[in-house]
Amino acid sequence: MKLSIFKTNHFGKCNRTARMFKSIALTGVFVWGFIFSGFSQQVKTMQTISGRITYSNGRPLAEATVTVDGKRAGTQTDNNGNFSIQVPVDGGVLLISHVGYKTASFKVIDNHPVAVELTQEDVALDSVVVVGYGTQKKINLTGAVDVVSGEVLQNRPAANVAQLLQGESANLNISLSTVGGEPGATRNWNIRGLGSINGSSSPLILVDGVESNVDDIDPETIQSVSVLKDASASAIYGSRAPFGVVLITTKKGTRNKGVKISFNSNFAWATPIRLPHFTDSYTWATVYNEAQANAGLTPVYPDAQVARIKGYQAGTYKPEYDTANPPQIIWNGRWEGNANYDWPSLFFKSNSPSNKLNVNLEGGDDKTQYFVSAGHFYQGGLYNWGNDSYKRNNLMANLSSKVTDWLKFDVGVRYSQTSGDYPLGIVGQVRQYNLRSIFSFGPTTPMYNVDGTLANPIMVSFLNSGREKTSSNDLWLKLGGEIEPIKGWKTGLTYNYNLGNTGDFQNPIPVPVNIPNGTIGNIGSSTSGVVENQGSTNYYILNAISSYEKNLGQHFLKLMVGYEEELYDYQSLYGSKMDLITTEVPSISTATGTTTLGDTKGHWSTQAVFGRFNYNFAEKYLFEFSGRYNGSSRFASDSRWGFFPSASAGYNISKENFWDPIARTVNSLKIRGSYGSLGNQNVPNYLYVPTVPVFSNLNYVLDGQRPNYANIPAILPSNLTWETVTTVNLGLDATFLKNRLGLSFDIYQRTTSNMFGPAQDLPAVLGTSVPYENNAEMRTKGFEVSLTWADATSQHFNYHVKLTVGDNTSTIVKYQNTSRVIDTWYDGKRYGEIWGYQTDGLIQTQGEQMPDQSKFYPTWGPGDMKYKDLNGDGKITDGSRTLSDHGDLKVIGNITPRYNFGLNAGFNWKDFSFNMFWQGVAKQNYLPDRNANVFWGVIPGGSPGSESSIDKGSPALNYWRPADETNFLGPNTNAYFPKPYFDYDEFMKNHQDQSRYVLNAAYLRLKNVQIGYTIPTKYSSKVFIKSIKIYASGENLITITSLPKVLDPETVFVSDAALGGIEATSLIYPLSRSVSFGINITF
Amino acid sequence: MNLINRCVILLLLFFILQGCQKDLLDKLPEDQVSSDVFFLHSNDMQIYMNQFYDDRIIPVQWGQILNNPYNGGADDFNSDNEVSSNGLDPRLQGTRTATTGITGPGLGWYFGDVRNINYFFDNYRKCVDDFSTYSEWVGEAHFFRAYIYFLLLKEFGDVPYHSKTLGTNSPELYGPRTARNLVADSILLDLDSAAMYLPSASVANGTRVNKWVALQLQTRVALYEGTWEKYHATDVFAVKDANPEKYFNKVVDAATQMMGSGQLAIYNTGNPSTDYFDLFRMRDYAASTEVIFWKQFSVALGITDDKLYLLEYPYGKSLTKSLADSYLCTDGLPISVSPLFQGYNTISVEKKNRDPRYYQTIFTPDEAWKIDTDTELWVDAYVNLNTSTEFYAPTGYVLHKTYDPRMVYHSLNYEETPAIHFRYAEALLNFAEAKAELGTITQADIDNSIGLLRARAGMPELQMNNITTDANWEFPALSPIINEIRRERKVELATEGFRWPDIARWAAADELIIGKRPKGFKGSQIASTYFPVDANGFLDPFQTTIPGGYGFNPNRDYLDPLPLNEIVLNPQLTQNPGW
Repeated sequence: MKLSIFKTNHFGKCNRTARMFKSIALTGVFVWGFIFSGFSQQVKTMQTISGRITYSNGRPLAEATVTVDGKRAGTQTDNNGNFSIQVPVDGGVLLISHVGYKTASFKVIDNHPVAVELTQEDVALDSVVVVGYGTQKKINLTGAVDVVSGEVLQNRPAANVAQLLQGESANLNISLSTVGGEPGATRNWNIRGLGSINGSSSPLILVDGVESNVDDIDPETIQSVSVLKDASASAIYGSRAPFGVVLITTKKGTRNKGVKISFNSNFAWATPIRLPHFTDSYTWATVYNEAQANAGLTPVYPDAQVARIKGYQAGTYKPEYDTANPPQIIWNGRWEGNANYDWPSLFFKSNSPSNKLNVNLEGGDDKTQYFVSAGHFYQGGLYNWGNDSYKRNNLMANLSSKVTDWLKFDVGVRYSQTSGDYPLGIVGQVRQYNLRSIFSFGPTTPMYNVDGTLANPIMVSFLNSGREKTSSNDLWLKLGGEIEPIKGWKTGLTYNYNLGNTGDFQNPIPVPVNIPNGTIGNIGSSTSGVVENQGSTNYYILNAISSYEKNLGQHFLKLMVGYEEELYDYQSLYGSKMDLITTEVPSISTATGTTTLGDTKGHWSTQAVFGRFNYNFAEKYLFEFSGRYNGSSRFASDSRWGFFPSASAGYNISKENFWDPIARTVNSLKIRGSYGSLGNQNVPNYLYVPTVPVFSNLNYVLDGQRPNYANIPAILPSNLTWETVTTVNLGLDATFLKNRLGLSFDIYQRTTSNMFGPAQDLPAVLGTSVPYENNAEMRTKGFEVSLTWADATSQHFNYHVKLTVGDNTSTIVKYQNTSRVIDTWYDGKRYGEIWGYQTDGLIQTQGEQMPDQSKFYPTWGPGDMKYKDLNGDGKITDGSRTLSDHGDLKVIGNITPRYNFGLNAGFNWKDFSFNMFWQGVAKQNYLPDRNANVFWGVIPGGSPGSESSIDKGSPALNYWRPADETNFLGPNTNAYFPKPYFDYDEFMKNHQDQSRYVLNAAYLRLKNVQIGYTIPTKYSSKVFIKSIKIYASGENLITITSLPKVLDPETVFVSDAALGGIEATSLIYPLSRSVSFGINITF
Repeated sequence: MNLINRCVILLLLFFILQGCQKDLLDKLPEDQVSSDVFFLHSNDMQIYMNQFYDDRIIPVQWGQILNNPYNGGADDFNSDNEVSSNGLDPRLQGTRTATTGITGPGLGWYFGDVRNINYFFDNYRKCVDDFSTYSEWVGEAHFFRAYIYFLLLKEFGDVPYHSKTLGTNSPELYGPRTARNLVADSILLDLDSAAMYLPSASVANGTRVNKWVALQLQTRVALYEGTWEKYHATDVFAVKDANPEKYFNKVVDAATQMMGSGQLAIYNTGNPSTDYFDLFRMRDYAASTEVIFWKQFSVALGITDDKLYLLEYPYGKSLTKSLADSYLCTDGLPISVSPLFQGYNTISVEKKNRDPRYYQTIFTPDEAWKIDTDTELWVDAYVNLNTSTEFYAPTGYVLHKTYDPRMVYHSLNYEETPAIHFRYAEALLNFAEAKAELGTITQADIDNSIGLLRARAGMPELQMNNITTDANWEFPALSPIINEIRRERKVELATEGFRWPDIARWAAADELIIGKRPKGFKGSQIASTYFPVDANGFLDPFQTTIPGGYGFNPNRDYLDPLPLNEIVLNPQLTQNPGW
């Protein structure tokens, strides 16, 4: 901006004291009180001021908004950039704003016309970035910090912040948890890849400086998200943040912009994506009978039943099973029925509604600012008969007030309440087990008995089983003050308190099912009951921070030191009681059976002093040192404290004089580097405290009693200490072509040493297992690129594109595995390696040349699998499964997601806006688990085909059939899958882990597309509305992947049993595609 | 606001921080007991000792139930007394190989229990209560350490002996094995202490150990080591500095204390035809003077068994002719000599005029099989033997001892049939054997020991100066008195889990096992010919399985192999002979 901006002060010195008292008084009342204080205005004589607003060398800027500071009324410039407005005599400040330009303020000089030139917004360099315990100008950053503006998180019908942030920042990897797309499902977070082989390498996620449950945050209240990726950025958090930090800043009241009320609402309809659909029942029966015949067994579906199946499809046979000989057993419908249902599509809704509502109120003057928000979110589930749902309500209020020019304080309240409601499912199983049942259920399963009652047990289970209800309350209170006794020296004290509670309620009940033969079976619990778990947490974090900054000529110095302590305390009470008096009132009080009770309690605490020193010379040479001396109750007193330092430097080459010749092309260029070392305190509590495990009910009767008994304490790691995470980072930030093109690039290496790993084997005379030691090491390497382009071709059209790519790979450097067994970690192992055999095609003729594969099965014939004899010894073996002797095994793929990318592009044209966001993974392998029935199709189970599933869009039918195949599927000798067998051994001989079935799981997904229209102010201002925007938004609209249609690239990995998934291998609660409509109104 | 005010506020801030807890980071668990505070009181010790009352350490020793995963030394399937058509004992067959594995708790090269018990000794001195309040638990701890090491001693001979818990850096981890006689001495010392601290009255109605249990274990251990040293003196298991007499004297000392206590007695109601049988089918041993340590079951408490249910049918398990032939005739003479012996034609004939313990141990047709509203006799089963799985009895001799025909007590998984751990009769047998080995046995010694057992059975007394030579003596090279004492032991303790340890310590495999096949009764007395018979018509179920008889290797198989990887980990460990 070319004209100077006057810093304004509404209040003269004379009334400062009075104002101070007013502010003090105000803080004593409820937050709403401030809202009204914002409306109070003094009445003054008005004058009319006219002016002209331009941009970029005097070009007129139309539709810029001009308001008088502190007033609601405003005007807009015409096509020549001209405007006129009523301004109080004797002072008044105009605020001039326009999308894409920096807002300017202009002190009115009585009777003088106004001329202001706006400069285009350049978020990249001038903006201030939230960093650990403070803010920093982006140009002065030396660490790897990425910022996501809260705007990109808004107006999307997604459930939580995690879902919204996925793909927005390079190497901020967000993946599904094991419950997939279920309402209320959480996501897994990770910055820059695997950090430790021991459990979580999640980043520290702070909301306004405190670690919070990010899923409880209302995305509409987020101002910005900073992602601190390297050690220098996160070192200030020491051992709390070994794997990066995500800083979420909520909205605060804005200064001098008057009162703004905004109302956001959104309605969405979701439909499951990549849901498998059954092929028809005749196809199933044909395949099953063939698999059975191949194994030398009698058909699953005898001729008479196949005839009924065909009859049912043709409409000539109405009942869904043989009425003369109805199924006797609850689960036998699939073998004895003859119906033809596509169960998956029946079990899932085709559209499930959800909605979002949010009201924000913000405002403030020079002294006091406030932001108040209320939000509601409802997400309906996809179960057609289960009525699963998730709800979240949020309330938030932020207030800060400057009592005097050297004293200010903040108050904040944040509350969220969530509740989930899910069908309980089959007794003794997690509810996801129902999914597994659905996908292997068989289209032949009858829905109705001839008497009209429901026959499908899973359906009955969804409809009539008890419920699981979850709830949580999360309340945060914040009180902070800051004094600045000497200019530049600020000292603040902040206390945050969190009270949380969670509840889980289940009432298992008997679930009667009408079996076709007229009897009634039970798939619920044998008796009704109640199982409850109530947990509560208390947490406080107190920090005191003192900072001093000073400009000495071109030298800038800033020193910050701080102290922090936190204490977390949790307890939960668990109880269950069976035999309800009536299932209508499920509670512990109304149950009569035996009671079981239990509790867990625990706590942890940390203490730390930390500091940061910044120095720069003319913003050209930048240096930063930071460190944290951190103590954690999770470690023994002698190894409790650790010091974690980091150093970083940056060089703004473009500020050098010699840069001038190319400064027009390369507007700015900064190189930076950092090194830092952090600890990882993410280990269980009390690991170092030897405890005597005490139990009740000895498994032995002593004198008519089963007394309590105690065991020996486990042997403890003798010198348990932090895992140390060391990161080296090199980065580059540049802008080109009038700052329109931005580039940011980081390359890093992160080494996790002293990682917990199994200790060296000790002689058995020790008498116990050897505890883990800090003896393993892992290295992760990767890079991030972010490319942005933003330009305005005219005042009516601007557009922007942002591409981010992040990549990382991890290698085990050291691990205690002397024989180098390939089934666990070993030195040099790449994370994610898949070991298997090399496929050599299918055997086509009996007796053809092939290695000795008798390790797997004695007999082999046409349609069976041939493996490649890699070591040329004439037989297929896995050797001793060690690195030095692994027979014919080799690494056939890697599951590490490579080149995670996000592409954000959009434009504004007049009152229309368009934005789309693509996200994907460019390279990743997936070998489906052997139980992934939607992929393999035929899998032998306890009963013939009980684990199989023949789906449309699955390669299941592409199995080997002889050239003289007689069934309607016909010959298929050039098949993808080998001959199917309903025999476990014969199945396994063909389904060793092998290269043929290593799938390419790369994908590109249109995560969001949004079209908006802002109703011109000239209409909206007539109804006292500042702006109205209506929009349509869609999630997950397009998925491009080479995976079969039955597999979702995002859910396959988390659902895979080998990778920690549960129950329904390759299938978890599906993700959904949703279409939504919304409105933003600002008053 | 002036500078002073500002400084006051800064000071306030300082004071607030001063309020921070200095011990903020000292956080001990709230729902677990920290080991610092455990063992401060005697009650903790009792709670700690309770863990050793566990089937894996003290296996339930009822002979007929095979596949008991914890039968470390229990039952007689690993000896010449019993067989199972489900599989022959690999040790007797000599088919075992050394492996890398460490078998689980209660068996194998497993030191978890050693660690557990030593932890008690490492910590009990922390107790602030008076010693008299916890001496009993110290006594129990000594007992269990002895018990646990005795299991290792029997299996491996030399074992590393440690009396404190080892840490991951302890040099002892890489120490050599302790010579077996030193281990035995440590066990006996522990038992001295146990006998000193444990009460002489029964504890918890006999469900916990008391002084007499400790002393009886002492007789067992001392006799084991003494006879081992004596009978393995010239083979590969010979012990350096062997001193069998020392151990025999220890047996005598301990047994004498028991015999003189006045508190222990053989169960004898004067009904020789039932007393022995009844002892093993009591429903409660709380008042027993003979059963001094037993295991209680309770349906209400969820600790149940199903012994009687399982014993209803033999299911392939049966006793051997070798055992059956050991029973004397009622004239006190062996069957090879006695005119009262009627031959083998049927088991009813075979049992005529035999030691009443014969039919109280082996099922005979006129014994009650199932007593419900009416009584079904064993003859109903007998005629069906070997016709179907449940009636498989490869030798024909089915276990009767420990069975109770009253059907009201039979139930799958819901029985409360108690199990005997220690009974006084063993101590008497140990005493007699030790005395005989010392060569100091007198007729009075016999009368006070074996005499009491024979009296219960209504059998004539063993006269040490008038022993009839038996052509079938198992140990013809040994003295008549030793032979007869060993016979008495075989008969009295049949199927109670003593037979294999006896064979091992006597180095008796060459006489009893090698090249032998277990035989049964005359095959002609039952209809089924499922199992083959030998040239003399006796059932010979393993005729084809082990045509040459057991292949036991006497230079190897008396001890178990150490796991191979343990020898790699600790080069100081030496492998047992022959492995």
